[in-house]
Parts: sequence; structure tokens; C-alpha cells
Amino acid sequence: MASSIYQPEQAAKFLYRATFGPKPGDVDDFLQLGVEAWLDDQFTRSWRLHRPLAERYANASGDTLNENARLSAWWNRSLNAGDQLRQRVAYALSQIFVVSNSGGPNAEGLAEYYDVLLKHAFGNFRDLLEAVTLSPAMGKFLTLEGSRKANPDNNTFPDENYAREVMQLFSLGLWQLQNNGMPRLDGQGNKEPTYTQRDVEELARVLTGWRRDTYLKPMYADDSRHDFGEKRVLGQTFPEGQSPEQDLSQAMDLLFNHRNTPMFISILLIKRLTVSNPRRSYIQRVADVFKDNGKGVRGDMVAVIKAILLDQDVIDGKAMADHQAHGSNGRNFGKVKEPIIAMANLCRAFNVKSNDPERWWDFPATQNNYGQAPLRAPSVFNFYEPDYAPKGEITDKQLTAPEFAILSMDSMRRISNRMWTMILAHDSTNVKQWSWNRSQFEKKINKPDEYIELLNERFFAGLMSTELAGFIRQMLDELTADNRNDDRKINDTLFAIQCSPEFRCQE
Amino acid sequence: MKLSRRHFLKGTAALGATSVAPALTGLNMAHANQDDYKALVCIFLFGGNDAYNMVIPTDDGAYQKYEQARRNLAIAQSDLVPLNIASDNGVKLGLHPAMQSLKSTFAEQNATVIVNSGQLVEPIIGANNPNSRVPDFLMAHNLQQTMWQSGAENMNDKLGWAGRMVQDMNLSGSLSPLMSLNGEQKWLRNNHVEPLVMTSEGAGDYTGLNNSDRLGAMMRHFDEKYANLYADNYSTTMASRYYENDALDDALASVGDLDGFPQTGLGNMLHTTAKLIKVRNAASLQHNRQVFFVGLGGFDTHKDQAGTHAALLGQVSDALAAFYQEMKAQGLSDQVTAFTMSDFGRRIMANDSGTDHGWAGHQLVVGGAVKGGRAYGNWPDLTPGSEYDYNNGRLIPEIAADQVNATLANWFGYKGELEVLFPSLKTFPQNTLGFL
Repeated sequence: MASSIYQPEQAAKFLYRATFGPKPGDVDDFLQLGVEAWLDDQFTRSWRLHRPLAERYANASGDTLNENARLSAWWNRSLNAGDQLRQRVAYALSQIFVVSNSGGPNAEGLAEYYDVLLKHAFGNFRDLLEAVTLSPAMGKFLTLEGSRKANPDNNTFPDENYAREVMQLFSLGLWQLQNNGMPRLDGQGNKEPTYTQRDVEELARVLTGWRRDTYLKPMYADDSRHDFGEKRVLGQTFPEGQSPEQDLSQAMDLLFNHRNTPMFISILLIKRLTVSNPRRSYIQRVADVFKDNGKGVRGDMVAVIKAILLDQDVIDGKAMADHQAHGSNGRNFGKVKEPIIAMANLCRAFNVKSNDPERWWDFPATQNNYGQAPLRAPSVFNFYEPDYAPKGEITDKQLTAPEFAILSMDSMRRISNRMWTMILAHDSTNVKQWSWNRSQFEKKINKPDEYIELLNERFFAGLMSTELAGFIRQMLDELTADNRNDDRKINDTLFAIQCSPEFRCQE
Repeated sequence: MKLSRRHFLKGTAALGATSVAPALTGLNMAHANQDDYKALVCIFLFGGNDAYNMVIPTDDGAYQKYEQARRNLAIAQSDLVPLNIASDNGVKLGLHPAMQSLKSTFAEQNATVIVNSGQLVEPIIGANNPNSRVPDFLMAHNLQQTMWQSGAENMNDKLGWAGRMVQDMNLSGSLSPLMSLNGEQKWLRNNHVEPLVMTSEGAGDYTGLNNSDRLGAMMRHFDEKYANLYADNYSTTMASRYYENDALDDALASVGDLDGFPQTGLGNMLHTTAKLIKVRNAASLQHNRQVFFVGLGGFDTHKDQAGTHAALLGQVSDALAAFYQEMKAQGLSDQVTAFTMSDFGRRIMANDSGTDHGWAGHQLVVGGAVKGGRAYGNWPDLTPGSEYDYNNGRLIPEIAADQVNATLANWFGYKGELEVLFPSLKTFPQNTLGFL
């Protein structure tokens, strides 16, 4: 791993993976710093939290911290915060350790949870897993909060919800994995489950006794609700008499050190950040770093993120040829941008500003328009399952492309409409909207070469294809022949850019 | 690129439709026979419905066992909605008090309950076989949802059972006859035609596409070939979604709002479903069979179940009752069958104020084709340790979900082998259950 990046093209691709999209000048800055220094800078920048900002926004308009304030803060941070890599990784983590408004906490609790993910994004996975487990937001969402030991008189049992999902979704996954992430098969060629229902029940006993005070601090232990008996989970004994803290700590160690966890988590992070169809060798290299960062430390998130972003396959543009094979394929490299990330790319290209001097508003109307919104998944299974494949070529080749699952008739249209609204908003003064400065575009609109170069820099960081450039050129020629005004020319070409598949996907 | 929008749309609508649904072979029922029309409407209760608090025994003996098992979660006997139907073993059944609105449909004998049903790969109750196999990953939400949608032995199949069924039936239509108002769903996946995934709002405008230059630009993206897999597939997906929206917009324009639907998430979905049924013969649909997926989330009631569950059941009942009334008004109640699915039932014993994941539950089936006036299946013994008790009140189903689904498929007109559609059926004494 640890490949270096010297070319503008590579730098541009890197920035689409590691940030919410390059802003004007970002590629040059990156090349000047060099990838190692850029990463070191990102890893050491202080985090830019969401909850305090959301609170400020709410106060500015006399509201309580509601979803509009939370999502507005999400946009401002994702578009403008200097700790871009941390923000980007936190968004990826929010789709692994899913908490949702649907069944979860209020907006304040959600914002605080996002900040927990931000704070732990560059720490150790063991601490992240524990912070998530004790988060009151997660406690509310997956109902660990209040779970108490069995009561034979009332015929009640501990809540198994979190015990199940923490194994299925946050650490082990369902099936025993090989080092390269492929399921391990038994003598009969069958996949082997990682845990049993009995393990779920026992882990539920281990995790009894946690309660919530507020959404702003971790859950606390209540001995009177804890099951102090001996338990046995995944073959390991939890001795009788352990406190809630001791039981929890042992459980976290058990899940963290399980042989599956490095592969299971690495695959999910790869799919959120770089490619939909990593080669097996890429998965294995990242998982190996998860197991040991080279200094004997397991779960070092900084090392894992570096391994994901700098793998030789990512630099070389190699992806899985077909799901089971060892070959490589350049055509299969990359992924569909998540709709909200494509929107963020557009907004960063425009360098949008809030029209309200006091706060940002959720101008993109994030809740209903993209098939996804931060911490608003329909369930703990996120917006899409990581192995989803749309009908046709991708299914036929046994590949995956999870983001297609949310590109329905409705969301495809709404994404287009929101991007179009953003394009038109350049001169908006509505206080709840955003605007952007169009002067560069106006200056160059009648100099096709320069204008196309501007589009290339802003929307593709230099990666625009010659085919698309040629098409925009042809559009401009026809618009000029039809005597269209500058406004029309700019709007039409920007519309064409935002809906181009190469803008909506990343390589 | 100098086409007006209307011109462009009319000129390419047919082309668009064929590119959306390229492989529809077999008979093209261009003149759909009105009498032959049928629709299946799946109402998926996401999260695992506590079916044992949806359908509750009204008889004293069975009620007492229910109350003893459920303790603080038990619904008062005097609050139950009596249905005047009984299980195969003679237990009289009622509904949760929030479901009053479905009472008349049961009274008309156009609704029934499939008692103690769930995922099975072979019979367990009565099989006297200590080694009976149980399905994989019982109690895991997503896998159990998948099992309902694909078949108990079809987890590794890429396709859902409705998708495979429709594929085999060579159904026609410009737009897909497989429609989800609740996101992409495995149930509808097949090899021939992409399901139509929409929301209850139906179609709408592409606000940027109000001039021919922008329309032309999007068209260019549709037609362009891309070296990259994702861009290439994105282009065709974007095109399909656009043409679907346009065709649906035309079809829905001919029908206004229908009466009587509650303004709830599920009410809106079933309202739009009813509109799509009403316009089934429109030029852009031409459906003589339709399959709909709608859903409602929130049934994973681990905590504070009582109020939440009552509200959810009320929503289900009111929306379903309104839908049934609308089908009667359209003269189609015999031709449209609605039914519930859910991840799993819940454990009879509580976690304090809520319930944990269980196994068996009950399904509701509603429509004029339903042979009502009775329930199907035996009411189980809810006593801890009974032969139905898998562990701590997680109940073993006696009726297989695949038998229920096969009954629906059979009614719908599937002519293939049911045991091919649902391989698990080979292990059961009967493939279908006779409730339709």
C-alpha cells in the first residue's frame, strides 16, 4: 500500500473519495502538500462538531434544535469544514453504525451521535464500538437503554435487539469470513454462521443494566437491572458477578478481537469511500492493516483509512472482474456517488453560501429528495444493503452497486430537480436559500474553450471526458446559432453537466 | 435536438418502453380481457408485527392462556373486536380494538386470518421429528424479510417469488406490472422487467426539462455509451426512470383522487395503488395482471409497545378497509387480493414494556375472492413449554409462509409447478390452503 500520488488526475480522484468533492484550487493545494502531508494534516485537524452548530442555528431563529437545524449544520460542515476527511469518514460510519430518526432519538440526540462518530473516526475501532454501544441515541434506537435482567415473576426477558445487531451489522456479520472477505465454507460447501440465537440471548444478558440520562452523555450502569449471572457468548465465559461495566468491556473486546471483524468492517468502509467491487486482495490488504497497523495495534482507524485510500488497486484503477474470480477489470472500477454526495460535490463546485447571515437552512430539503439523508435511514439496515445489485449487467457479472437501490423513479427525478434548483439559485436572496457567485461563468460563457475548461475544473477537478467536453461545445454552438442569451447558455450547460453519468459516478 | 417536449415524448415513448422492458416475450395481451384482470397487493409490516396482539382469542379458555402468557401486554378481553370466525381447532378469534374498521369486511366473509403461520422449510408441529430443520437466521430482520419475499428455500436466489411468477406468466404491459410504492424489494425482482419503484405521490415534473436543449442534453446522456460500468448503467437507469415517470404521469392524469382513504403513509400508498388499478387499461399501462408492494415500518416494538402498536394496527386496518371499499366501488373486489407479510411474529413473553423477535405470527388476507367466515390453521397452545414453544415463547409456525404464498400465486393464475416456485413445498402434505 502507501502509494504516492503525484499526478493532477490522481489527486482529483483521491479528493472525490476522501472529501465531499474538490473545491476550486483543492487539487493544486493537494499536489503542493503531497498526499502524506495532506493526510497528516487531515488526521490532526480538530474536529468540527455538528451539535453545537445546529444549536446555534436553532437559537438564531428561536427554534428548538430540530431536524432542519441538524441537517443545515450537516450541510455546512460537509461543504465547508476543513476536516473534510473526518467529515467524510463520519458519514460513512453513520451508514455502518446506523441510528435513525425513525425509532431513534430527537434531532439533538442525533446531532450528538454524529459528533460521537466524528470524534472516534480517527481513533481506535474498539473505542468507537464502545462509544456507539453506550451512546444514548443508539440506546434509544436499538432499545438497549432500559434492558434489564429476566424477571420470572413478570415473565419478562432482556432485550435482544442490540445484542443481535451489534454482531450482525457492527462487527462480525452473519458468516465466517476468510482473510480476503469471502465466506468460509465447511466440508459440505456450506457457509458457516458466526453466531447462534443462543449467543444473542446470552449477549443480551451481558448487556443488561444500561440507562439513559440525557442524549448528551453516555448511558450509565444500573446494577439493579444487570444480570450478574455467568454467561457464555461465542464460546467465551463471562464470569459470575461481573459488573455491567466489566461485562460490557469484555463483550467489546470479544467482538473487536473476533477474526471476522477486520474483514467485515473493511469491506463496508471500502464500499462507502472508494469502490463498489474491491478485488479480494484489496480487501485482504486493508483487513490486514486493521489487524495490525505495523506497530502491533489492532483497529487503528487512521491506518485503516490510509490503507483504503492509498491501496495500489485504487491508484491503478483495478476492480473485481467478477464476484468470485481473482482477475481484475478496469471497467468495474469506481462506484455510483451517493445522491447526497453528488449534491455536495455540486455545492462545493459552486462554493455555495447561505443567504441568511445568522444561520444555514436545509435548502436541499434533504429529507425527501435523495433516497437518503444523514441519520434518517428507514432501518438499521441503512439505505441500501452492501451487496445490492441492479438487474442486468451488474447482477449478471455477480458484481454489486448498492447505491442503485435508492435510485427509484421518484428519487432520480427529485435529485435532478434539487440540482436544477441549486443551479438557478445563483442570484437567490431568499433568506432560507443558498446562492453562489456566477461571475466566472458569465465572464467566460462566450469563450467556449475557457468556459469548458472552467466546467472541467469546477465539476470534474480536471477529469471531464473529451466526449462530454465535445458535447458541451456542440451545445454552446447551437445555443449561439439560436441567439440564446448568456443566462440560457449557462443554465443549459450546467443542467447538462449535473445529469451527466460521469458527474453522478466516481472513478 | 430541436424537438418540443411533447413531440419528443410522443416520438420516443414506445422506444423508451421497449428499452425499459426489453424481454417481454409470450402473448401480448394488447386488448386486456377485463374479466381476466387480477391483482395481488402485499402489505409488508416491517420490523416484525406482534401478530399475537393483532388477532386474539375471544373464548374464555384460550383468552386466559393468552392473558397468562402476555401479562402486562395483554389486551383486555372486553376490548376485542369479535369477528365471528374460528380457527380450525375451534378457537373464536377477535381483533385488536384499534382494528374496528375491518370488522365489516370480516362480516361480509371477505377477509380471513392465516393462524400461526411463518417461515418453515419442513413441518415441525406434528412431525414428531426431533431433527426437523429450521430456517436459517430466524429472528434476523433482513434475512427473514428476504425469506418472505423469495421463498424459504430461495434465499440465495437473486429473484423474488412474485418476480419469478410474473416472469413465468409472460405478463404484458408498457410499464412494468410489478410495482413497489415502498422502495426496491426483492419480492418483485425478476429477469425480464425491472419493477416500477415509485412513491405514493406517483409521477411528477422534471423542473429543468422545460426546454428542448436541456431535454436534448439528457437524451444525449441516455444514448451515450460509457467505458465505465457505473456510468454506463447509470445512464440506462436514468433513462428508464425518466420514461417510467413520463408514462405514469400520462396514465395517472386521467384519474383524480379517490374517496375514503385515510391520510396516512399506508393510506396514501393504497390510495395510489387503487388509482393504478383504476387506470390499468390506459395506453401506457395495459395491465391485465398487477402486483403491488406497499409497506409500513415501526413494528419492531422492543419497548413501549402498547401505544405504538395500537397506532400501527389502526393505520393498517383503516387503510385496508378503505382499499377494500374502493375495490368494491370499482367492481373489482373479487379480482384484487390484499394480504400482509411481516418479518416474523414476536415472542409471547415481554421485554418489560415491549417484545422481542419471535417466529410464528398471523397474516390477514382481504378481498372478495377470500373464502371467509372462518380462519385457517390451528390456534396454538401458548403455555410455556408446549409443543409450539421454540424457546421462551417464540412460537413454531404450523402453516408455512410458502403454503400461503403458493395459494396466492395459484389464485393469481400462475400455471407453473408450485413446487418449482417454492421448493420447500415438497416437504408439506399440501401445497395450497384453500383460503382463496
